[in-house]
Amino acid sequence: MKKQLILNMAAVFLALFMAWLFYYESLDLPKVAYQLPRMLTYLITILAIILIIESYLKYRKTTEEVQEEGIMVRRTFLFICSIALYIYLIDFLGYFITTPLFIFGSMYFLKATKIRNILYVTIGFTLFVYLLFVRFLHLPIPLGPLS
Amino acid sequence: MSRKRNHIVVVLLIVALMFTLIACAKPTAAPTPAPAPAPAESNYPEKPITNLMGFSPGGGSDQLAQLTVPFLSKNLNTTFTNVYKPGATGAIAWTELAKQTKNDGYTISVTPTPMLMTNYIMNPDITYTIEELEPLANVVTDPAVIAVGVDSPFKTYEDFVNAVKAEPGKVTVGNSGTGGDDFFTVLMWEQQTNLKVQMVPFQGDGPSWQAAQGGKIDASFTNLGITYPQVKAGNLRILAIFSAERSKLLPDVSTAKELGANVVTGASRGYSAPKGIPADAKAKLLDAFDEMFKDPEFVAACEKQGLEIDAMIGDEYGKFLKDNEAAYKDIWNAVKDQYKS
Amino acid sequence: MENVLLGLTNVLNLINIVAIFAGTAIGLFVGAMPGLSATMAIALLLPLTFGLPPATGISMLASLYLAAMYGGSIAAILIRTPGTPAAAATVLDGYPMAQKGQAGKALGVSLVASLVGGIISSIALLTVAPILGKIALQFGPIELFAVAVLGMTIIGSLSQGSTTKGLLAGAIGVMIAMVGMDPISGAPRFTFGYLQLFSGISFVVALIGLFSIPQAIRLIEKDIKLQKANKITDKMLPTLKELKTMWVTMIRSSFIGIFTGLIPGTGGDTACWFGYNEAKRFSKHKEKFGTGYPEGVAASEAANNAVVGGALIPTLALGIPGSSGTAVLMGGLMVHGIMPGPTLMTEYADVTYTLIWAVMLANFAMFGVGLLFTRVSVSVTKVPNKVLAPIIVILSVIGSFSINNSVFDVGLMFGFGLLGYFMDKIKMPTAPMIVGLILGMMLDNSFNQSMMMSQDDYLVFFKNPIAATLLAIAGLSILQSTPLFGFLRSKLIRGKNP
Repeated sequence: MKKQLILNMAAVFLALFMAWLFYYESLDLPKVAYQLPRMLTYLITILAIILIIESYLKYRKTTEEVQEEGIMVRRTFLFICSIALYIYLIDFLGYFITTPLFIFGSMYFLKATKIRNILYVTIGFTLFVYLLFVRFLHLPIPLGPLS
Repeated sequence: MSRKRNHIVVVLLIVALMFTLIACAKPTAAPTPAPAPAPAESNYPEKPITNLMGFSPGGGSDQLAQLTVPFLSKNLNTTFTNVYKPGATGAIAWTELAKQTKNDGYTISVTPTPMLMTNYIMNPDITYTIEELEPLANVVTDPAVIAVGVDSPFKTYEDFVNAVKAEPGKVTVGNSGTGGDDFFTVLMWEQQTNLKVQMVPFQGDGPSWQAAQGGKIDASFTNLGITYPQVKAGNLRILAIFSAERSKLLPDVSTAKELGANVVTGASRGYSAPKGIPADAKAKLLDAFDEMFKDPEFVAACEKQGLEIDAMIGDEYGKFLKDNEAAYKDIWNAVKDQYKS
Repeated sequence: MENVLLGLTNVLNLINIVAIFAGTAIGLFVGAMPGLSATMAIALLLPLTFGLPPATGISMLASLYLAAMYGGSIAAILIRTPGTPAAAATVLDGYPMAQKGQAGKALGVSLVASLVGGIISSIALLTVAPILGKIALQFGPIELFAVAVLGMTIIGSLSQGSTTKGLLAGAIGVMIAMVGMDPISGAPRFTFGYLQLFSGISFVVALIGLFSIPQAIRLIEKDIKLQKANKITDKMLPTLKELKTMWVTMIRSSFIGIFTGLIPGTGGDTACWFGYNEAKRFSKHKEKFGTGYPEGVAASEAANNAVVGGALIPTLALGIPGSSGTAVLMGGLMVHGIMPGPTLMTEYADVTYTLIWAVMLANFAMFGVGLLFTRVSVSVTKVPNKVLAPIIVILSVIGSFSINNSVFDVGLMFGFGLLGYFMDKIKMPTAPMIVGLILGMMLDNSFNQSMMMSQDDYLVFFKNPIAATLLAIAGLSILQSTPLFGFLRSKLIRGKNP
């Protein structure tokens, strides 16, 4: 349960950080605008302290380490990074270059299915999005160099 | 593996079905643009014009776009594409229009007054100004009104004023939101009459007049076109109208001017383009608006929707925007300290 | 009465029936796609209906609106991503059912519940609309504040496992809802200078991120074969016996949906949580909720479809839109030259009653088309996880983009996705955060408005009969959950003195 404790502490830290960042931002605001946010800051602080105590007590009681098995950390991490990169690049390369790259790249990396099927999915979905969103709905999707 | 492929086929079939449906729906409505007869001087417009919208579908700007686009596309012999980029009360779209959009005449935007100016007057984070835009034309103006529920004790404008005088700052008056047109109407009215009411901002005109009709607040400063159906049905009563002359819709209602409060204001909606569009494009756009205003069909369509045409084209519209900018700046500077505490 | 029959004969016209079926099919599709909303589809299809007679065009759009409410549950059940905000509560029991290999059953329950909710609300619309419509006007800021408070108590009951973590998630949700221009003072709050945050964080963007990105990551993080292609042997439609256990819940949720729809400012996204919460409160098997319990699906789906009829009541009776979807529909009426307002049911009775019958008929169209559509869409469960994960990602990206046509929102969606994944790892429930996000703004805004209207009198909420009643119910809900607090305290004390 040690891992759970660390994660809980991370959550507490994140919540407190957010709450006090918002508190700091509220300093310049008029009263009607800061009332509720400040009350929330106090509430979050109290709840965070309770959570610290709660998880500390839980951690003391249980001694055995329960391992959450089977998570492929490297693969998961790389997948998350590839999503981030994909979204980041939309602004520069345009949606219709990054999307097929992402579908093909991530499925190939995950060894999702046969290459031929991956190609089908890549082309199919890109075409589907193009027809529906650009051709029919006329959404201003960033096209990048393709525009 | 063939099973998997079958499923892909099935999915593609659904997609195909969707598009057939869509394709079936399309030709019934969208009129196919006739091949353009080549004009003498220039070929503008050669492609569809983008109409950049600062608000979500369904609002006042959208209403104006849906109303005007059929006429404008007829007069310009092209099609229009409405692109919605809502956010920051339109500021996202207008910042883009002023700073990023190519000034080739193929992007225009619905620009409502006073929102277009009050955005940057009130928020230093919003950086575009009307100097960076090319005003094309104002189309409609919806005059501001004071509305009360039909059961309200205020039968006349005088009743309302007397109540405000008796208890300064206690009479509750709704508006469509801080920074909106009705918010400024209240401020202008307060300045002119030296009276003070308790302003209650709502999120939009609807909640504001509904609260007045339900007796939740004492009165609502709102607009004529929005409330007219309710007035006609006898659910709301209009105490005064902030137009220069009495409205054709309600000839019995006195203007604020007649009642001693010299305020003429409302919510106007028009079109603007980025600064520096080609001269021929500008001329053609202005002509298209001019032609639209003269079209009896357009006049009839506006009347049907309870909209009052307030035609101002080109420089006249530009001057209107500038005058408004100065006026709203003054009002905001006079009251802004109350909103910073 | 004459008008009612006239409407019925009008609607049973070939072109109207075709329009209703077309609207239903598009609605199902739009609902099932995360990010495509009924509101948006109505707005985009509006110009296409110009060529049709007003009653036909508007009927088509209304059936689209109705079908999208059911469509939202398809993605919620199959890929744990609500297709519309109104299906967020459906995820809680719908997805666990799919994991148990009962995807078909979950969708069937959802479809039946949607049908029941839709029919009950259509009947209300047809018969008592003018009376119920008046209720909409009774809800001003003071009453809305009480509704928001009542909604907040749902957070408590959604916080199984760790109450502290649930409350914390709820509080963070409310806090995130505060981002954007403060409606009272006009001052930008917590926008960090980003213009894109001035209108606040779009709720749908947060929802897509919180649900779909974590789901995509979960699908690939392990190699274990999750619920491998459990041949869909389960029947889709629930048996009569199963229906018997759920009909009370469905009817209760339908009424909750109608009333939530009536109140301007609350719609399907709120109704599904109210429906779910009340079903749980009255259930004998509270502990089964959240584990793949069909009643949970039925509760939220009946509620969100009943919203359609409920929201149309004030729209048609008074010209007050009860939700954003009906606001766009109202715009549609205007384009067709019909001034929405109190005269709709008298002056334009032919169009209005045709529309009402169309909504009624659309329920059956939805059931029929839904059965076909669902049978096909269940095959999504047979797609390998590693293929599904990237597809979920690209759908989330395009979905979050299309709400405001903003790439910024896509980044925001991904941020919420990471937050959701992290919350999942520390077993912090996301549902309370969503309730906080929905109601946070309403809580803040209506409170400040009430204070302005009453010259800072806090007692105003207790002087108002509707608000006082709602607050009393809220108080009762909190009292009900106190054993939890007591349990927590005893645990703390025991821990300190071993």
